[in-house]
Amino acid sequence: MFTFSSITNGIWELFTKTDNTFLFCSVKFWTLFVVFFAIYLLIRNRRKTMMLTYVLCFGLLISYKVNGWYMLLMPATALLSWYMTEMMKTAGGGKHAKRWLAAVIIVDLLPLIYFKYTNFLVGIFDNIFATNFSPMAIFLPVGLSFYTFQAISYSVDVYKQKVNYDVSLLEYCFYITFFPLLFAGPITRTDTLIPQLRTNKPVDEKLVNLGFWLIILGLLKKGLIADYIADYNNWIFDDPNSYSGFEVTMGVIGYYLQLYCDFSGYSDLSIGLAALLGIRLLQNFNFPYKAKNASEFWHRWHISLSTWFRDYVYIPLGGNRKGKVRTYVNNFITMVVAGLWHGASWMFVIWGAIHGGALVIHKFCKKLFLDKINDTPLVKFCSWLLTTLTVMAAWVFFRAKDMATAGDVFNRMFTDFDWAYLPPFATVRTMWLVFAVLALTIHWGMKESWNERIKEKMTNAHWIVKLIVFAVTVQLVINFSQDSVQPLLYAQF
Amino acid sequence: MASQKKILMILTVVLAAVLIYACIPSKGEEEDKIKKVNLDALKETEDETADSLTLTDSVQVEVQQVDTTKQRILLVGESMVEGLSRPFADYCAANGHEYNAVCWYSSTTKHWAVTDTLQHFINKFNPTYVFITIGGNELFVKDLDNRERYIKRIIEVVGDRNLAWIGTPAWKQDTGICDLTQKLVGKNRYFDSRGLKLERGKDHAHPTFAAAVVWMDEFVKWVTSFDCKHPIVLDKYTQKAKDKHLILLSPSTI
Repeated sequence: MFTFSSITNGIWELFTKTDNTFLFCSVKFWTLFVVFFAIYLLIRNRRKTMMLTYVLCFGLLISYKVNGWYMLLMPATALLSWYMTEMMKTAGGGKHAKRWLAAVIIVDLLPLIYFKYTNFLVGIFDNIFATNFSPMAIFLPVGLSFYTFQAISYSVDVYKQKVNYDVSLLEYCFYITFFPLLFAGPITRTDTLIPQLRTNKPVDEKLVNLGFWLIILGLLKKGLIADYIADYNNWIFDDPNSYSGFEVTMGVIGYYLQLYCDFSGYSDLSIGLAALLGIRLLQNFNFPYKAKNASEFWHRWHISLSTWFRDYVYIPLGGNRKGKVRTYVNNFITMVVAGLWHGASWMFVIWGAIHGGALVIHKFCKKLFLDKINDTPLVKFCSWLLTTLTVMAAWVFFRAKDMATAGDVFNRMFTDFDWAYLPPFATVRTMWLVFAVLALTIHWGMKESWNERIKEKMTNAHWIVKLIVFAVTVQLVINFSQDSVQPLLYAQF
Repeated sequence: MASQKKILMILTVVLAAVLIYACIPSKGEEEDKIKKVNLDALKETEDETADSLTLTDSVQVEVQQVDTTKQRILLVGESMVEGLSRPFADYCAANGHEYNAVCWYSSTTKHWAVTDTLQHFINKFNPTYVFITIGGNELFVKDLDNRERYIKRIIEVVGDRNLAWIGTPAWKQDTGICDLTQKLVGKNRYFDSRGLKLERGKDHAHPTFAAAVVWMDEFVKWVTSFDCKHPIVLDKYTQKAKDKHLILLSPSTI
């Protein structure tokens, strides 16, 4: 039962207790956000310093909620990175500036290497030298990969004079700790965020309304669709041999959809939250599963990450400036590193290598004959199909815990597939199918012009309509988040 | 600024509605069609739990004797019952206990709580001891607060009769149904099967028939000991029972 002390205790814990379920889809986050937003609106038009400090503190609180005292890594990174970049600036170019740049990149990367890759490196060491070091229990702070990359991009951009204005410590800390970006990006460049902090223009009402629509869309994609279909997909990948080839195939398609809805939904939530504060972030997903080749896929999928790797890995490696073969090698290396960024496991390396290979093959074939083929509907369809199958197959390596599991998945799909499983699957997993079809519709079923029209309508809708749509969305998320899907279709032996 | 204020108002109204609705107690055993968020973090936990009752009971168990009388045993549950019921029938036949088993495929605590199936079979067989094995289809549930209501309802239906819950031999980490059940029925009425290493069938979940015998043997060690609230006599059988007294119920949706 509710008592005054239990409620006050619960409110106290909302602010002080760490909680690894504290995500943008949780009631706890929205409770804190509503309080934050109310105060933000009161102080927004007062001194800019006050506003920046307030948002920064909220970002630190959110980081503390998910990371505990590991959150101190974030402001520590911000302070060190900013200070060392300032030293780089005063070095005035040349070798000294280059050394400072190298130093700040190393300092930025050290926590990432330690927290994310220590056990992976220990495993490699064990394999090479036949030692037997046991893995350490290392907690990986949420957001580390993202703000590390933001910090590096700032220092490199300052070095290259792309950022040729002074950034104060407060602005920089705001940039690193900005809470919409905390959990999963998008990786935002200095040039995107800092100038917006300096403007005294009134808040763009259209941006704010668009932000609210993106929040609704994000909740639908991530909170409703992705989280619901994830249960079934997880069982498939945990033990593919327990399921028929048909069920495993559904699991693979399901994961392909889940990943899009999860990542892009989360990006929508992040961009939407920033927009509510009047800050415009760049689009991160642009209907990636419509891509007709690997290059196009990476112009549409996780755009902030792919452009980061393009600007800070691919181009420094030489990009396409050193001949064809070197271009292919640079492409391949960049994608392998991108794979490793996603996780410290050979499975992610393989995933990256598949995409690297696909990019190389596309670039090679493009010059050889692809550019000479007419872009008929059949050609477009075949290109899309080949790209989709490649991406889907690569996701199996991304998700499977090891090669054996990935092998089991493909084995079941190709040796045990039977359409006879469709009717019982449709009967027992009706909602899963409904959500899968919904995900497909959101992504493919709508022309981009329809998508723009819906966005326009929702952005300009009356506030009562927005209230109803938001309330229904929230309730759908609550309802389906508690729906328990049975692991076994039919319990009998 | 006007848009921001309106959006703040929308967020506040919806959040308030969600939280207020979550505070309204649910009626009956049926779960709400419009579900609520879990606000257990804001609730006071009950001081008296089954565990603390168990502590008192287990002190009494030390001086308790094994019940050597013939029992009327009723075993109910989901598909795990099918394997378990065979050696259970063998044990009962060897010890003179009257025995009946009901296996309701794909059932969950919800099925047994919201229907009158359990009451029907209790009325039919008038057992002195009810054994329950439900949970195998709920290992990954997210609505433990609903499950808590169902388990409490099942315990209520069993009433004053002796009760022992045979926990699912989970093949992977569950989301809390086993611990919840143990908490509600009490440690001395719950046999935790999670530590058992059992050979599984093709579905990698259900124990094989041979493994079910091993499972039953482990359970018998517990139910004949003072770890169990009401231990009975179950000596090992030397021959198998001819009639397994097993009633099978097909899956149904609720």
